[in-house]
Amino acid sequence: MLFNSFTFLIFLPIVFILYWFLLKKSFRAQNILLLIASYVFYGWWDYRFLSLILVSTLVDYFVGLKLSETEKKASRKWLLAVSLLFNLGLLCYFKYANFFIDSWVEAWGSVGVNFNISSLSVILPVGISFYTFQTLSYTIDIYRKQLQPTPSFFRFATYVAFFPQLVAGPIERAAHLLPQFDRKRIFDFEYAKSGISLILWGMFKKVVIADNCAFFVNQIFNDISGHSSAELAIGAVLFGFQIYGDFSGYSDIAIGVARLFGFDLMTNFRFPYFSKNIPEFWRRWHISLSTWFRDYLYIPLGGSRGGLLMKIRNIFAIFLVSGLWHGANWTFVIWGGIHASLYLPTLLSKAPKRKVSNNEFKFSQLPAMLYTFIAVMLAWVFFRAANVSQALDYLYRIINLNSADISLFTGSSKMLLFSLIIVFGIIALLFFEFKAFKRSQAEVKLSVLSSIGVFLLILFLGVFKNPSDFIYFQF
Amino acid sequence: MKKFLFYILKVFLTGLVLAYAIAEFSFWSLRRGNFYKPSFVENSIKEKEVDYIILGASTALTGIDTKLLDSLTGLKGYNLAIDDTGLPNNYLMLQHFLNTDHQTKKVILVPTLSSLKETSGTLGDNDYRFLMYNKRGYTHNYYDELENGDRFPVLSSTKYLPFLGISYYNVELFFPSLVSALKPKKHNRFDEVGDYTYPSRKFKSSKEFETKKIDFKNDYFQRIVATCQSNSIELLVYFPPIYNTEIYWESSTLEILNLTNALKETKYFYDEIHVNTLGKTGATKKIAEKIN
Repeated sequence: MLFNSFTFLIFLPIVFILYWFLLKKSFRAQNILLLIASYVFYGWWDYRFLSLILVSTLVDYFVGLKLSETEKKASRKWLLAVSLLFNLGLLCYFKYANFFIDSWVEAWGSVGVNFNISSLSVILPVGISFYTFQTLSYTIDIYRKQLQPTPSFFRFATYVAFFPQLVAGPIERAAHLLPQFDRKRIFDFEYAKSGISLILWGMFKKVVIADNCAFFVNQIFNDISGHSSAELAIGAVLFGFQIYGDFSGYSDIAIGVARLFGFDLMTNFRFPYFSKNIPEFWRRWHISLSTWFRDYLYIPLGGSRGGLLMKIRNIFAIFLVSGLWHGANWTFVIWGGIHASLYLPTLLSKAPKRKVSNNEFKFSQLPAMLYTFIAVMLAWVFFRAANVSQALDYLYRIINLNSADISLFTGSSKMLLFSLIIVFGIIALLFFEFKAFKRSQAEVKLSVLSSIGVFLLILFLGVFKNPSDFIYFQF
Repeated sequence: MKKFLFYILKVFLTGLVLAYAIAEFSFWSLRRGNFYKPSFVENSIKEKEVDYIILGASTALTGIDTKLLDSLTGLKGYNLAIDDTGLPNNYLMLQHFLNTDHQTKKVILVPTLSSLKETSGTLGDNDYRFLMYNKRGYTHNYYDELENGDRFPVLSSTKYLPFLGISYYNVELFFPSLVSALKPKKHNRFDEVGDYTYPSRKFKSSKEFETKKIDFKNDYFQRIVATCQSNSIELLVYFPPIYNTEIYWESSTLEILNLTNALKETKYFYDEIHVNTLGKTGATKKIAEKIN
């Protein structure tokens, strides 16, 4: 079920009414309702993959319990290995099997050894990268003795499948989300109101910004040679706004929906395009994934301790794996590599780390913001391109400066209309987000009037006829 | 909770009331203007009775020179064809024409081959162009009858919630309604008699000659025939030139002009199924001969 679908518009109020009016007195009953709702939400897309979530839940639930029962180091290691092997095995089979097979065949083919192995016919289950990381964090935290396992299977199953964030995050940590299922939720007006504000803002980012940008982005990336340098450069920027609107929009809706049920999900985006350098960008972009990799990969590897080479190795490791997490394609690995390379200068300069909650803005910071923005936009080309050679061709054609023609955006009244909607949408987005950024807020807060205005913008400027799927569903 | 529900009502009810008002304004503006063919029929065809109307899709819209036909026959007619539509839409246009206090002596129906292939009907890509008349029985019934499947019935629900259609078809309806409000006389790619001409370009094709058998069993085709009979309207079924193609049928009592294989050279064509200006003139002369 998609957040921007009519089905969800019916589904959400039904669950909300049952949750707060019928089952108000028992938080356990509310949990079961959330579990059923979550399975319906996921099963609406493809019920066959519910069994994967269920098996993943069962494995980590029992591994968690067993881990707390034993103090033997070897047994604990074995139990952790079971969880790691199972979750990463699922991920590898569904997401990376063909990538590894194809890369292996290609690598041997390049030295003249040919293998006749055909690709597997595998459908990627929506959200698998998100919920496997969520369950992994649970068992790792128990292994590290940072978390006590939950005795209730239903509570754990609800934590794994919690529908607002099941398919595209934020990737919640058990220590943060799980205890929220253990206590009675009391309806809080201000909290629920902020949820509505986030849902509206997220929907605006998705249907007005992302889906309108997709109209041009798809045309440009499907026919790179047919477009001028100027159109390609604008296309890269539009993809930057598309993916931001799409992914952060989803996160905002997820957080907003969770708040309607009295749950707090972690902030996933904090106005990343106002970052002044790449490390800051990564403290503002997909925070739940960055912090996951920081805690479960970067720090165990040694983090920023040790010598220069070790620091560089760790940075590259985290970014390359992060790239691969996004998709089974070398384009994502290179995208990660570019970010690692851009990350290093700031890391090595030993400049003091700025807190993302402190957003004092000075005009002198504008060049740094602009530099970071352009670097991120150019790196997105690898993220969006079908393969590495297409990405290189795209960048080459931008640098080539062959033509400043922008007739794609102005050639017909329809194109001009889409361009105007996008320009207006991006100005509105930057206006609201910069206001929130300057006030050091974690999110955009809409007044009643702004909410009504945004609601109307969604209705009349949004794309409902040919909506795009959420980009991160494929991850 | 009460406070929250009141807040929801305040935001969404106000939003919906405003959306309702904006949508009604959009429909009013589209009805008042001439942007799409349905309002053009209502506002620009001043004659109570015309000699002929042309119904069809893009092959009719771009394949007949109405002004030339008028000058060759001494008749007065309009091209009411809409691109990307099928026989159901042609039937809807005929109903609309008759329901807006107009009469015609003749209908030149230009059915698409793909539409004839179907026995029943499906919605066309441009059927939303009648949405400003969604409260009229024949339009609503049309949407109600054809809108089925997995998708939410946006077109038929617009009668009750007008913002649904305007929001769903915002590029196609909301923005044109703003244009229409400022320039009520503006047409969307058709002239004062309803024609549109494709820009010239060189057409090349390696298509082999083919023959296609057709029949006239389509339900909406039969409805058009019946409507013409009950309103004493002559019906001419016209098949325009198609590059390297000829159609045939077993038998029919209908008056049919088959020009599918009348123009053989690529110089007459814009693409395989559409004629260019030259082809349009040639085909129109043959229609005039048939009418005379």
